[in-house]
Amino acid sequence: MRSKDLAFIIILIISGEVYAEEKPCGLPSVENGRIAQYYYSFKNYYFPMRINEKLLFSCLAGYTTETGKQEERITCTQEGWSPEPRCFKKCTKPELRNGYISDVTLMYKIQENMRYGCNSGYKTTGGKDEEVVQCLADGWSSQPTCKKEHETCLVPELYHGNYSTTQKTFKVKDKVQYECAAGYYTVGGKKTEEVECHTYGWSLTPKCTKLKCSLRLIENGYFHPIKQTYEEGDVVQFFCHTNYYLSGSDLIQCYNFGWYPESPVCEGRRNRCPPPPLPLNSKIQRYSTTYRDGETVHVECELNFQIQGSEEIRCKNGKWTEPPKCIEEKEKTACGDPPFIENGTANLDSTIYYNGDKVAYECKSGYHLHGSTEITCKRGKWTHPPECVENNENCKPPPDVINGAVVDGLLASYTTGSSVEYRCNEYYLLSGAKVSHCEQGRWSSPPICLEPCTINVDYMYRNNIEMKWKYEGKVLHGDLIDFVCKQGYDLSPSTSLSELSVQCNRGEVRYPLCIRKESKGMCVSPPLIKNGVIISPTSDIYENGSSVEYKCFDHHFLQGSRESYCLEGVWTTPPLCLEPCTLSFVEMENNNLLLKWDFDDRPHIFHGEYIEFLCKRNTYVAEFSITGSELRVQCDRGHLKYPRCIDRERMLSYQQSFRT
Amino acid sequence: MSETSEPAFGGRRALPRNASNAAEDDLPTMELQGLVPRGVNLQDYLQVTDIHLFKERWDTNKMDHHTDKYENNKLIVRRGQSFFIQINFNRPYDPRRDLFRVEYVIGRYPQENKGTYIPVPVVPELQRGKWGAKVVMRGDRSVRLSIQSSPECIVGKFRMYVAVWTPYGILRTSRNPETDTYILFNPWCEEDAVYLDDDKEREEYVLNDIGVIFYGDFNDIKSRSWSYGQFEDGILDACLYVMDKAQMDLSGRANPIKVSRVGSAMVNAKDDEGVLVGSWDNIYAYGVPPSAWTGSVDILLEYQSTKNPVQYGQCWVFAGVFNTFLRCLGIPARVVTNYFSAHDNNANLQMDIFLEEDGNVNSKLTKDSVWNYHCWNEAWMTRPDLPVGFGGWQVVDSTPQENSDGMYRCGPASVQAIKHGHICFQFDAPFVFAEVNSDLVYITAKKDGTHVVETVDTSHIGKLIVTKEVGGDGIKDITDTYKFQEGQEEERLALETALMYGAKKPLNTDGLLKTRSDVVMNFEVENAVLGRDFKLTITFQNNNPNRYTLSAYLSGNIVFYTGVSKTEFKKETFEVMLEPMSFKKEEVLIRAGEYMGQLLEQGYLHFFVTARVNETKDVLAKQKSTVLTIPQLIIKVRGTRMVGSDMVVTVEFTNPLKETLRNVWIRLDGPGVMKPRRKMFREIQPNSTVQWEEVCRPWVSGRRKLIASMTSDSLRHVYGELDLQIQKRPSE
Repeated sequence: MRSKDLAFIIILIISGEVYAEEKPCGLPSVENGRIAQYYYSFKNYYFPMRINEKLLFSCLAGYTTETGKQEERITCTQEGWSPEPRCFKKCTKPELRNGYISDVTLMYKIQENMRYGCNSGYKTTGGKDEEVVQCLADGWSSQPTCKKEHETCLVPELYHGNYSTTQKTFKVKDKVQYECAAGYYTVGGKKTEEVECHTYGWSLTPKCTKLKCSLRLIENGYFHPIKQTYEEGDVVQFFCHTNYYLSGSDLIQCYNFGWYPESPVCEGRRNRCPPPPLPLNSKIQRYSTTYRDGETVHVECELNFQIQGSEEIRCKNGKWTEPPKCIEEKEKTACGDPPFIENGTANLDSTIYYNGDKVAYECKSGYHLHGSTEITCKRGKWTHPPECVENNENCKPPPDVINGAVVDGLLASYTTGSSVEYRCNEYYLLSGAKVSHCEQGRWSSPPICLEPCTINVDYMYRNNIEMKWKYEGKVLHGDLIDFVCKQGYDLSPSTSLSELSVQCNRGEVRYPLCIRKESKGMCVSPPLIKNGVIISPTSDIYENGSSVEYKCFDHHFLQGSRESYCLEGVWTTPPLCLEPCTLSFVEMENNNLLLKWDFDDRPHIFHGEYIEFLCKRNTYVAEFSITGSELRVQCDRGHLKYPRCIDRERMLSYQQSFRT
Repeated sequence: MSETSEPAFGGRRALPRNASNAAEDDLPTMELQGLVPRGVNLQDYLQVTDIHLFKERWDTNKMDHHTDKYENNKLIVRRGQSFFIQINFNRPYDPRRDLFRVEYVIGRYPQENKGTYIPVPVVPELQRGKWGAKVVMRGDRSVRLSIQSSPECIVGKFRMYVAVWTPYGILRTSRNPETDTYILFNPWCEEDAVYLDDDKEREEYVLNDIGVIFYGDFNDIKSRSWSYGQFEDGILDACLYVMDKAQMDLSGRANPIKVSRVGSAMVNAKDDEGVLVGSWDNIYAYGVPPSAWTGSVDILLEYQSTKNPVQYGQCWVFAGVFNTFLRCLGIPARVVTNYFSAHDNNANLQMDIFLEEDGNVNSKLTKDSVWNYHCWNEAWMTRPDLPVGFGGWQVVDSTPQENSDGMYRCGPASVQAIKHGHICFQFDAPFVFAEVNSDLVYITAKKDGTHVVETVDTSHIGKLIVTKEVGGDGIKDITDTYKFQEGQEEERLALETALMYGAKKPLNTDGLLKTRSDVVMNFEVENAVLGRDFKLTITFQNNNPNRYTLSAYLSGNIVFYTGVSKTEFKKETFEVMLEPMSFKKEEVLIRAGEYMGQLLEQGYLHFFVTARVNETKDVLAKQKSTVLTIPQLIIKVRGTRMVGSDMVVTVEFTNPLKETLRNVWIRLDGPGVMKPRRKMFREIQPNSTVQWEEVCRPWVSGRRKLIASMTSDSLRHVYGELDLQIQKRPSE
C-alpha cells in the first residue's frame, strides 16, 4: 500500500471518528410502532443519522403516539432522537353493565375523553349519574363501572370485632363505628374505624384482620419457616450459605408494627474481620461484635505503658492491620514539682508524681479559680494549671436614669457590696428597684421613671372633644382621663364608649374622635369633569347615599361609572370623558395605508375602538410584532398610532439594516 | 333536499351518481314544516339582505389564501384555513333568539354524508380540522363571520346559501352566482394531505405560472420555457371541467391521490375523450404540431370550449398541461425529465437490442425502444393508503404508453418506493421502476436462430433525471431521489427488492461478464448546426499484443425522439487494421445534404457503430445520438414595461436553410403579459428574415417571460424566449 493510500485511510478513520460525534442517532426502535420499511433493509446506508435529520414513525393499529395521532415526526438532536418515539395503547370501550356509553367509538386515543352514564338505580364510581373518564397511557383514568344505588346499607358480619350499635340496617349518609379485638386491626390499620353508608355501598367495608408481616428472600442465605405472610407472633430464623456470615440477629419476630429486629443480611467472608487484636496492657474498650471492612479501632495503653506502633488498626480484606504493642515504661518519667500559681496553692500530697498523677489547686480568699482545678502529670509534663483571679472588683459610677437621679450624688468609684438609691423627677413614677447594688464591678438594674401625660389642646380641638374634669398639673402615668364630645358632636359609629376614658401611658394619650352630628355623611357640590356635564339636578348639599349622573360630550367615551355617589361626606370618583380620534388621510397616505373596512370611514372614532388598516399594493408592514396585530390600532384619547407600510425594495433594505 | 322521483336508475340506487361540479340543482328558498298560522309574517324573522365575501384580489381572503393571482371574480379559498364573510340582515342579529347557518353545496345531488352538502354551524370557537363559523364582529345590522373549512373538504366550486331557522321551517337565500366559492387544496395547511413545509417550494410548485422543461440529449441538454398559466382567466373552470368530463365522483375530489390519478388518465385523450391526442407521426394533420405549443393555456381553453380533444401533443406537452391542472387545483407539482427512458416495457427490466451477425442492428427483431428523453410529472402528497414513509413526491404520467388497469394512465407512484425497490405499492410502480432502471442487452441473432448475448449495459437507462430548480431557471439533478448510485451496494439491494416484488428479468445476466475484448472502441459526434456539415470520429484502441482486423459499420438514422427510426440516411462500412498495442482514428464526414431532406422536427440524429474483430469474432457496439442546434427566434420589446401600459413585441426569424420554408406558424405567449397569439407566413425564402409585431398590455407585474415557437412543414421546434420585468402601476 502506498503512503498516499495509507494517509487516505487514516484520514477516513479520523473523519469517521469526528463524524461519529455529529451522528448520534441510530435506528430507533419503537415498541408497537414502525418507521418506513426501507430503513430496515437499507439500515447501513441511512444510519447513523446526523443532527437535524428527520424521521417519520407510525404506530400499529390499536396504538397512538403521545399526542393521539397515528404518525409523528422525530428529529435527531445531540442527545439522540427527540421526542423519544413511543406508542401508547388505545383504550377500548369497556363492557358496561347497568350503564350506557353514547359514543360509538370502539377505541379511544390518548387524552380522548369518554362519557358514560348509569341506568336509574345505579351510580358511577364517583357516585354520580354521569361521569367523564380520560384515556391515559396505562388505561382509563378511572375504570367505568355502574354500581347499584342503594338506599340502605347492611352491616356485614364482623369477625374479631364489634359494632358500636346493634342496628343492622342504615340509611344513606348514616355512619357506624366498629372496634376490632386485641391483635386485630381495621381496614385503615387502626383499632376503631367509622364508615359511611353511600348509595353504592359502604365507604369502606368493615373488616378486622391481623396485621401481617411479609419477608423478602435474602441474598446468599435462607430462612425458616417460609410463609406467604406471617402473623403477629411468628418467629423466623435466618441461615447463611457457606462462606457467608450473618450480620444482624438470626432470629426476628413479627409484631403489629412489623419485624423486630430488622432482617439480617448474609455478607461475604471478605467483608468481615475477627475481633480486633487489643494488645496486652491496653485499655479495655467496648467493641462491637462485628467489624466490617474499613472500620478502625483506636488502641490506648494503660497507665505507665507506652504505645509502640500505630495507634489505629484497620479491618481490611478480612484481616486487621498490624496491631501496636503496649510497652511498660522502664523509666518512670516523673514530673517536676507542680507549677506555682499566684494567689493560689497546690494540694501536694506526695513528693513525686508520675505519669497519671493529679494535683489540685486552691485560691486565696478574695480570689476565685479560672480554669481546671486539677492538673495531670503526663509523661514528665504537667497539664496547664489554672489561674486565681481577684474577687473584688470595684464598680464605676452607676448609670444615669432618664428623668431621675441618684440620691446623695455620685462617687468616683464604688466597692463591691455598696449600693445607691435612685429618685424620679416630679410627676415621674418610679418603676423597678429603687436601690442598685455593686457586685463584682457591675451594677444591678436601675429603675425606670415613667413619663406623665400632657393634655394637648390642639388635638382635643381637632377631635372635637373636651375634658370631663379639670386636672391640676400633669396627668401621671396610669391615671385615667375622661373625655366628652363637644356640643353638637358625637362619637363616630365605629368608636366604642370606652374610648372616652383614656389611660395615660408613658406620656401618650389616645384621643378619641367625635364627629359632627348633623353633618354625618353629607356632601357638598359634586366634582365637575372635563368634556362632560352633570345631567341630574344640582343642589348645595347632598344627603349621604345620594347620587348624580354625568354625561360626556358628543363622541367622547365615558370611562368609569356614569354616576357618582355621596358616601359619608365624600363623593365617589366621577367618570372620565375621553376624546375621540379622527382619521387623518394625510397620515394614511404618508404611511401607504388603506382602510380595511368601509364602515371605518367615519368622522369620529371612539376611544378604545379598533381601526384596521391594509397595506397598499406591494407594500409591507415596517415593524413586525409577535402578535401580528400591527395593522390593527386602537384609538387612545384622540391619538391613533398609524402603522407604516413601505415598498418591497425599500423593505428589503430596511430589513437589511436591521440584520446585524 | 332534492327530489328523488326519477325512476331511471332502475331501483339500483336511491340517487344518481354525483359526478359533475357544473351540474346544479337549487335548494328551495322555503322549507316549511306544516302550516303557517294566519297573521304570521315569516319575513319578521331574520332576513338576509346582502352578503359580502371580500373577494377582491387585494382583500385579505385571497391574499391570505394565496389565491390572489387567479383571474377570477369569484371567491377562491383554500381548505383548512379560515376566511371572512359578512352577512347583512334586516335587523340586528341576536344570538339568543336568531339561528342561522351558512351552507355550501356542490353538484346536483348534495348529501351531507358525502360532503356535497355542508351546513356550517355557528360556533363560539373555531376548532382545527372542522367546519365552523365564528361571529367576529356584530355591527348594527350585520354580522361578520370567520368561516373555517375542513382540510378534507371536496375541491371544486361550491354554491353558497344562508339558511335562517324559524319555528315553522327554514328560510333560505336564493341562488346567487356572486356568492359562488371555489375551494382548493391547501399546501399551507398542516392538516391537508398536500401540506408542503417549505415556503420557497410552495412559491415554485404551486404559485409559479412559468416553468422550464428540459429535453434534448443526455450529452446536450436543452431547455425551453413553458407557460403553465394556471391563473389565467378560465383555466380554473377548465380544470374542473376536466374532472367533470371524467365523470369523477364529487366525493372523491377531496383526495389528491384520486385527483392526480384521474388527471393522468384525462390529460391524454385515449379511452375518455381527454384533453390531448398524442401523435408522433410527424404529419400532424388537422392539428398543431406538438413542438409549436408554448404553454397549456390555449390547449385547456380550446378543450373546454370545443368539448373535444385537442390535437396534438407529445410527452412534454402532456406533462406541461398536467402540471397546469395540478397546480391550478392547489397540488404542488413539477415536471421532470428522464434521459434514456425505457418504454413500453411491461415492467420488464430488460431492453433487447438485436444485432445481425455482421454487427448491424436488426430492425425487424428490435422492438424495444429507448427514448432519448421522457417527461412526466411529480405531485406532492401524503400516502395514507401506503405504509409509513412513502409520502412526498409521487410520479404521475399522462403520456399514453401502457394500460394501467384498463386505461391509459400512470401513477401516483411513490418515488421513495421506486428508489428502494418496493414496487408492490400502488400505482404502476413496476412500470416507472423499469423506465429508470432497465438494462440494455445487445443480442446477436444468429442465422441458425440462436441468440447470443454480447454485452449488457446496466447504466444506460435512467442516466439522468432532472427538473427545474426552485427560484431560478437552472437545472436540478434529482436522479438520486429515484435510484442509488450506480455500483453501490444499495443499488443491488433495491433491484433485489424489486425482483422480489415481481419485476421481470428474463435473462440472468449476472456473471455475464464477457471476456473483455482487448480492443476498445468509442466514437464522438461533433456539435452540429442545422444546415451544416459535421464530423464523426471513431477511435479504436488495441491493448493486445496481436494484430487485429475489424469490419466496422456506421449507421446514421433520423429518429424520433422516441428512438424509433424514421430513415437511415447514412450507411458506411470500412475495414480497420489495428497494429498490436496501437491506437487508430477514423473520421466520417456527414454532409448537410445527406440529412436535411429527411429531417424531423426535433432534429435528432442517431448513430450506431458496430465493429467485428475478425480474428476473435468479438462484436463491439456503441450508439450515440445528437441533436442539431437549431437557430432561435429573437424576441424584442419596445415601450414602457408597465402594467396597463401598451408594449410592442417583435418576433424575428432568419431562415438558415437553403430551401424555402412553407406554411410557417409563429406562436407568441406570455402569462400575465399577453394572451396566446399566432401568425401564419406563407413562405420564408432562404436566408431571409421575417418580423412580426404585436401590441399588448400586461396585467401582472414582476418577473415575466415571453415565449415564442415556430413550426413549418420542414422545420420545427424553433423557439425563442425573453425575460421581462414588468413594473407596477404607479398609482397603486
